[in-house]
Amino acid sequence: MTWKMKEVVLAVILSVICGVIYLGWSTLWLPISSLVGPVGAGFMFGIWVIASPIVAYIIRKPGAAFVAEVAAAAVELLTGSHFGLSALLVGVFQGMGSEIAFAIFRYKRYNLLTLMLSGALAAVFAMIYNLLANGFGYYSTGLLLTTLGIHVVSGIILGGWLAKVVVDALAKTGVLEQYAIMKERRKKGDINGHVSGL
Amino acid sequence: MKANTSFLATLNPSCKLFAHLFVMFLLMNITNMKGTFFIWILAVLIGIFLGGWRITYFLKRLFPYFGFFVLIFWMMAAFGEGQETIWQWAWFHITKESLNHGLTIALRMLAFVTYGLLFTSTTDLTLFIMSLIHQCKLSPKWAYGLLAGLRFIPLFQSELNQMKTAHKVRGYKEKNGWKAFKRYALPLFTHGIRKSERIAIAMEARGFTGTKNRTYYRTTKIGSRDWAYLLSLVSVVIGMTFL
Repeated sequence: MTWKMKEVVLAVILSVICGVIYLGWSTLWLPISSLVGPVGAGFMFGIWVIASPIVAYIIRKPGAAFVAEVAAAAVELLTGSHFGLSALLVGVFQGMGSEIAFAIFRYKRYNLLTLMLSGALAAVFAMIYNLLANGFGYYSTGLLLTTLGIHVVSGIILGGWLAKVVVDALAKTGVLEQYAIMKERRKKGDINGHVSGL
Repeated sequence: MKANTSFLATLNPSCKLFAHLFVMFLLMNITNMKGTFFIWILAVLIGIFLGGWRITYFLKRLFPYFGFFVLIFWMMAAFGEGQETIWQWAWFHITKESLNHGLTIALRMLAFVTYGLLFTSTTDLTLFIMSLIHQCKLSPKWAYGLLAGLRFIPLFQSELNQMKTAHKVRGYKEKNGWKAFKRYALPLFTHGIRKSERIAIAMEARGFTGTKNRTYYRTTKIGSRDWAYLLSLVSVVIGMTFL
């Protein structure tokens, strides 16, 4: 399945916006984590995986989730994240996680369930990276499982659910008429009462 | 992201990125504190002697991370596992092992940041994308798409400021952060999508198809100095792991 030029640019630009949001979020994370500790600040995790569900939900192509997350992570690195190169690497892991969620359903189902699953799997894959690179293996088991639990829940809510809310709001404005998300809706016959000037 | 006039800035960006990522992988496998510390110091020395960092620049850029450093050290020390207890209070449990692990992990994070800064402070963005095409065989469709997208970061900033001013003129006051976020995020996204469509059409209208057989204004190559940097960095770092 080849990508159209406008889909490529759309994916990149949405990733750029998400990357800038990630950067702001990382800056916000520092003071909060110093108050409640990195484990307590884990509830903020979900925003860092939002690029994948947003782009995959709109474009609906194999690889969209992975590309979006890696591009967003690259933007975070290039604009000066305080996580340095690990921002890029963790993006690769998170992208793989969310891609799997869509691949399980053979890129056919894009609903709240798959978006939430993508957020959850991204959290699991980010934890694998943390175990490899950030020494999470040194934490006691109970603490590790708590952190994973917080990250997964945060990934489901701030990653999956929020992505759906954002994209559905965008769809209502009519800017997505030309993309897979609205094409499929038109095929099904529910246009939410909105028809743009086609 | 702009390059400076240092030695590092003349290297091939992909090669440099690969070398730094390789150092990161080595760092992940080092579990002693001394080795991690020396690899971090190496990054600082490279920055000062080859990367054109001034001491003040270096201190200014790295200073915020020392808080981060202390934080990670504390998390690892207080919640890590270990046998020989040094200090215990409530749920905090500091042991000899956890203290050691904490320092190692905190230094490792600092090294990740420093190697990242070493890359971003000496690399020209356009050259980096070009070298992704030539050396990493990235499709031009994605590379030029990425280049167009990155150009949008300053545009979004000015657009956000414009929106804020427009709201201010009309007497809107931000009462809480979440509502303000919704108010600004949606127009930012819709503008982004509209612009992306326009850019894509403009590119195609000018004959851009994204195929690989095309000509380039700027090309990048891997020369002997790139190999020299890659091999010497990797061998020095591997040598340090045996310290």
